[in-house]
Amino acid sequence: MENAKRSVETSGKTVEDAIQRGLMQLGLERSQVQIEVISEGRAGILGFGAEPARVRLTQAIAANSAPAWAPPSQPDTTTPAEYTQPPSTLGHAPATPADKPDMTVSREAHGQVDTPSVPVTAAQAAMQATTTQPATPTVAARSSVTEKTSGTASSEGATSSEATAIATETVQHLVSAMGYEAKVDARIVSNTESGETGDSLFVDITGRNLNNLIGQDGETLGALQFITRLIVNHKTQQWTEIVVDVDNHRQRRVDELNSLAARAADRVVRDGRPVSLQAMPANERRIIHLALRNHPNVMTVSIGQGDNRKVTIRQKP
Amino acid sequence: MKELIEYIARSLVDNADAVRVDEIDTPGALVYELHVAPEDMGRVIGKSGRVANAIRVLLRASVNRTGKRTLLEIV
Repeated sequence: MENAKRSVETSGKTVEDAIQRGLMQLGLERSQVQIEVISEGRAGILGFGAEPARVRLTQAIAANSAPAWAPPSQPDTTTPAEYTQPPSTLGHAPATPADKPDMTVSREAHGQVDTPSVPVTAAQAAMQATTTQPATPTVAARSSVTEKTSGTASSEGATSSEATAIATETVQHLVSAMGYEAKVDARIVSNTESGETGDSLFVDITGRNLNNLIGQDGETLGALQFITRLIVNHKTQQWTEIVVDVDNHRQRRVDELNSLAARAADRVVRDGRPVSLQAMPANERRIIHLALRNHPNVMTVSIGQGDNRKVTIRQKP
Repeated sequence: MKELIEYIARSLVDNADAVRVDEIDTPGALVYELHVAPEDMGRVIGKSGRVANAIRVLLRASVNRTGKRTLLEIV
């Protein structure tokens, strides 16, 4: 059934790059195509062993374009996944974006840095009042680190803005000691709306040629985040959730996983056979599970041990 | 890269003065020997060597003009 549709295969430096090229060739919006990642590509070392990322874009079947079922709150789908019921199914409540408040919130938090869309909690406001740099709303507090924020580290419980400064300085230090030039920004995102407790500290690294900081399957980024967490929590003597990101890589990965989930679910519905995805770390499996949580026809289970644990999608009985 | 190891180790230990990193240039690899106070060993190694392995990952991703492998040993 693929043959009748317009389809194009493109390659690029990154998956995102390849997708953009393909969209240009087809003259379509992202929401009008199904994206299939053929190869994620590899950066290689000093230009050796580099492989381009390859993707296949296929024009979506329906006129309104969205795949038969798309995870709610996909940011760039023009119509937020108005659920078109496949003919074969019995009636089930359609999934609406409102069903997944936590995903919506985390997206907003990630995407819109400067807009204090997440309300500042009373506790945060109180903490803010005790700091030496008042008046900045916590959410919008971004510290740029070209000038060094020096020893604000107090041994007893640090405030959020101190943690922000320490985190920024730590990451800046790590990245430049690794030999890279990059800009580091940190901001605090309140999690209160998503039902999780506490605040997260997001540290964004931006710059040119930072793919090595992400590494194969995000390995380097994971190590960077792990070490940053240890150092910051050691210095502030308290536990803060810290997320380190390079050039929005985590957000891109979330989008990728969401569309992967939607495509795999479509395939399960079409073929009736279970589909196993590649082995993934826990946080990525979680995204898949969440993406298909409210799907009317499929269910997800994780199978396997350790590094070989993968999500299997199968039809609901 | 020596500075990277020193920075991470100093930031994690209690006794920062005892941290020392020796760089040994062998034909096959750059070997870094990290010395810390005995009571801080656990801090730089971590559960099942998690911290040590994370430092190794960062070393591998560091800009390395020699093109040699890097080895981290904690002694």
